[in-house]
Amino acid sequence: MVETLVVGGVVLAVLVVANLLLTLALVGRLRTLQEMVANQVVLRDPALPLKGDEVGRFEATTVEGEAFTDAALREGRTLVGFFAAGCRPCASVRKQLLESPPGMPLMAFIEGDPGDPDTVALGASLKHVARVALLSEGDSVTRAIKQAGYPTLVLVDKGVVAASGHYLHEVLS
Amino acid sequence: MNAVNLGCRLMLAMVFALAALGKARGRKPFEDFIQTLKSFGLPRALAGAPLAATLILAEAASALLLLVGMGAGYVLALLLLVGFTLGIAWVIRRGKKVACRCFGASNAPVSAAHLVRNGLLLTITVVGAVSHEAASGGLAVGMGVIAGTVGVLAGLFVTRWDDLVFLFRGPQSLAALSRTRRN
Repeated sequence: MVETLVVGGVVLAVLVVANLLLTLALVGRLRTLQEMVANQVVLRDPALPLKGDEVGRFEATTVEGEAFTDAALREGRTLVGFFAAGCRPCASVRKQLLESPPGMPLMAFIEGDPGDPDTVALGASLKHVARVALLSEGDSVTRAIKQAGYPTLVLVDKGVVAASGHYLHEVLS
Repeated sequence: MNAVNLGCRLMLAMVFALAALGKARGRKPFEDFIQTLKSFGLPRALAGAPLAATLILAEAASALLLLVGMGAGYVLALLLLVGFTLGIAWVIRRGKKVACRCFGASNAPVSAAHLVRNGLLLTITVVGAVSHEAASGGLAVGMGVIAGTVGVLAGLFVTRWDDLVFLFRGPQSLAALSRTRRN
């Protein structure tokens, strides 16, 4: 009887210690995770283009009828933005851009039907600070600059992605 | 008194063994420890690799002496703890952000929590030293096993102090976290 108790106690003690070590390991892991989150490693939208990605080939036509290709992004810094009519975050980014232009060439791609008055109005307001092109179904732009929803902002430096995000503060320091 | 002495001895031995191992595990933890020593207000000429190596050896020696039950282990532990505590207090007083490398890799900045931890260790050292003087005679096996286990587990808990502080401090907002990172 006593032996059984002793053996039981030993088994229990081993289990308790193992459990304790696991708990401490979990707490340590949680701390690492929180540090990662604080460094915003996890908070990035994984669909966004990564810093250092090359911009692929694309061809687009601005609303004025000029051709706009990836060759224009190969020189200097350009801010590329993707907008859609009727998306509230796009409206606030547009407002910020109009209030304080970023001081570099700006290219705005707008998703929408050319006959839709909202899309036309959005294009007309952005035209003050940017070159504007409408995106059509199956265009080459969204594939060339991995666009991830609306609004997407990509800072391109000599044909390479320097920063990307859904808010202006993420691409303009 | 014997059981108390055994518990204290094993707890301190565990703490110092893990501290020495954590710092001497590789090149990077060792160099990080030198950096921490430099911020402890020691003169530049003194705080280098020789001092760091000496301290790590002292920690290992203290752990060994305590394991074999020699009183010198307590003296060494007391000296080390007083030194480290003064260093931590100096860092806190100057309001500098220094990572505590007490047990090797940890990015937790030195804070009042470390003073509390060292205060606890100092208390254990003193209690252990006093009971060491008074210790005599044998110790029942069961009692010894219990005291030893409690001591070793307590030592393990102390080495994970930063994790425990993190746990009990509760969740922090992301904004606060990034603020502390930027400072």
